Amino acid sequence: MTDFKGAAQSWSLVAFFSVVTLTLLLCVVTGPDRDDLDEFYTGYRFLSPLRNGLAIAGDYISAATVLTVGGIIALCGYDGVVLALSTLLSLLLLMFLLAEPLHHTGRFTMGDVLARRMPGRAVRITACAVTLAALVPMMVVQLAGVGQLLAYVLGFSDSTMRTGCVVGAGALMITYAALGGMRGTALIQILKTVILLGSGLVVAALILHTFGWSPPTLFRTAARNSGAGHNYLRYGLQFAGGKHPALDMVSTQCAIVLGGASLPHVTMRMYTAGSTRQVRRAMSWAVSAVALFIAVMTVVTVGATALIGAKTITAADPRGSTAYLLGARAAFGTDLSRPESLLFTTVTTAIFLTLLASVASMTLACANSLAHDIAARPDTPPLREMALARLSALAVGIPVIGLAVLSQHRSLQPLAILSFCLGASAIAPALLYSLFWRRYTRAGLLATLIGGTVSVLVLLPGTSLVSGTPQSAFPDADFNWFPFTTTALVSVPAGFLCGFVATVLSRRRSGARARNRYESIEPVLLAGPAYPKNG
Amino acid sequence: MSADSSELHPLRHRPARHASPVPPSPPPTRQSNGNSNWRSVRARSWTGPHRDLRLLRRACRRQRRVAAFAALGYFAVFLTLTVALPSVMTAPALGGLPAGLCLALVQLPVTWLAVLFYEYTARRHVDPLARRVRHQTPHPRDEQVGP
Repeated sequence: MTDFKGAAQSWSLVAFFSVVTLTLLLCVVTGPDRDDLDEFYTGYRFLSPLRNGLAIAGDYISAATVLTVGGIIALCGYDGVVLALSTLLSLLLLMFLLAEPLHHTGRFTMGDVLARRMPGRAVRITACAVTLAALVPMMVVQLAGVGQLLAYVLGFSDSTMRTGCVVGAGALMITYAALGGMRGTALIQILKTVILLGSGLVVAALILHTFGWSPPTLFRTAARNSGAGHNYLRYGLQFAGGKHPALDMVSTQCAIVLGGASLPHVTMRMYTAGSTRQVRRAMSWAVSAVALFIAVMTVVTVGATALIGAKTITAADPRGSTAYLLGARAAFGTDLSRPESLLFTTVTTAIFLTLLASVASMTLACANSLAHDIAARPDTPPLREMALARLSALAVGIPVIGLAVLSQHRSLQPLAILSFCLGASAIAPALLYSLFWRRYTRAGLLATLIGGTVSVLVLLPGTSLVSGTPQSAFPDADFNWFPFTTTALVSVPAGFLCGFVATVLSRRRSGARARNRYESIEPVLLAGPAYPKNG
Repeated sequence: MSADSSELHPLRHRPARHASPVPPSPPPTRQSNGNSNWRSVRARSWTGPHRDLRLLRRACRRQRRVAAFAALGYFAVFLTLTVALPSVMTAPALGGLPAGLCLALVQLPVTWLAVLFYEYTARRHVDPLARRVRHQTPHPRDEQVGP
């Protein structure tokens, strides 16, 4: 029931190539019409809130979410559900706290937002460096995941073909980002969200139908088939091996809640909305779409455990990355009729699109930051800056492909955690402070960004994700000294504290200047620009 | 997080008053002495202790705080209960599911409600003030931040 042999596999192959062709075509057709910088960086001038919301949701539901969190839900039950909920909470907090100020003060990149408060090249360069440091690991995770998943679904087993899959998918994502710009990627994200939600809803309905539309039955069956019994429905399975499971869980949730939505590829979509109301409405749609998807994902992956058992899932992938696909496959039963196999192909298509699209928009966020914050000067002509942005996509993409090829056989979890922790410890404090604290100084900002990043980079290699256990990235070595799996419990306070201390120390000289600067931008920050953006 | 002096003596929040499209009557505290009526307040420099901006700042802050604390608070309580009192969270609740899982699944509809409530209050209490402040900003085109 779980193999992808025969018809399902050939259908998947067809689906994959049609997705690639179609999205490439869409990218070329909808790429920026003219040599207009605004259009390349922010896409459509007035994307309607619904579409913008779907694009935000598309950016936010990355392949890492679908595959990793799906796997954790399927294998660990309760812990996975909490993880999925903190993903949702992160987007909700983005909507409540940051979306509107970001929209008001930002233009193209995170560097713009920070430089609006503290103008200067040092701020922009640091912002770009942190953007790259936070997004490159995530891109490596996704791209290596593409290789694994493609090889699994399309049935390539030898490692040359897997490497080929990684390189091919990487080349595609560079093409999307460079040709399509924000416009092309927005369209792909919308398409992806719609297909993912549509197919997911059908599959979830089928699974619930199997269990008589009763979630308790579904969860109880899953608990019975998971091999963990009642522990499946309570916390502790995910961190069972750690020294402090409770603190470990809190630390992980902290990293996801603060880091998830502050990653630059999500915040960059805030700049594309037209007015305050539109950004709010767009975020409402995005939160709703993500909430719906989390419900769907929970049902499908728990259904996978209930229908085929945890052993089959771990046999396909030890971390359960393929649980979502297996659940969808199991929902249709053993023999596929033609409409059923078509539906299943839609699910695979949605996963392919997710993998390709999320890497593409991360590439775009990195390329925009490189081009706009570092390479371009105020007097750079728009045409040249656009060429720079396209070249940057190439410059970011090629090393990422290399890293993904090198790391595809190792555990990728530390890299994903690195991204989330950097978002939570460096980017989130910097954005919160600079948007809401009027005495925040430039030294404070730099200290937050650098201090948060350094603390994550120092602590993370000591966790058990990197070394010491058979599941870690370097199972043969053992330099594990940090007691938790994520660094957020220490590095988030470190990031906030660095900013606070540096601001207090530098306040005598630059505190008054910072205050004046804040007062001059406060009306725009709170009320928005007097005319609609990009208008 | 802010060191605004109006924070020290906060006015009681009266939602219907400053949300109305008609200019509100002058507040009794500062501007009520003699000829300083609504128009003259409007004409003041916006970097000074401007009334609209202050009201907007307060409305935004209130909105942000209530929303963020509600969302974070629910999750923090949920997480604390999960790790500190596992016996509560594993007690059977609806349909035989553990209470923890029920609380977790309830968060999805609660999120929708929170979003609706946020949109409603923002439209009602923040947007009219923001519009007023926006129209007073003297340099509408100071958007260009060079790289």
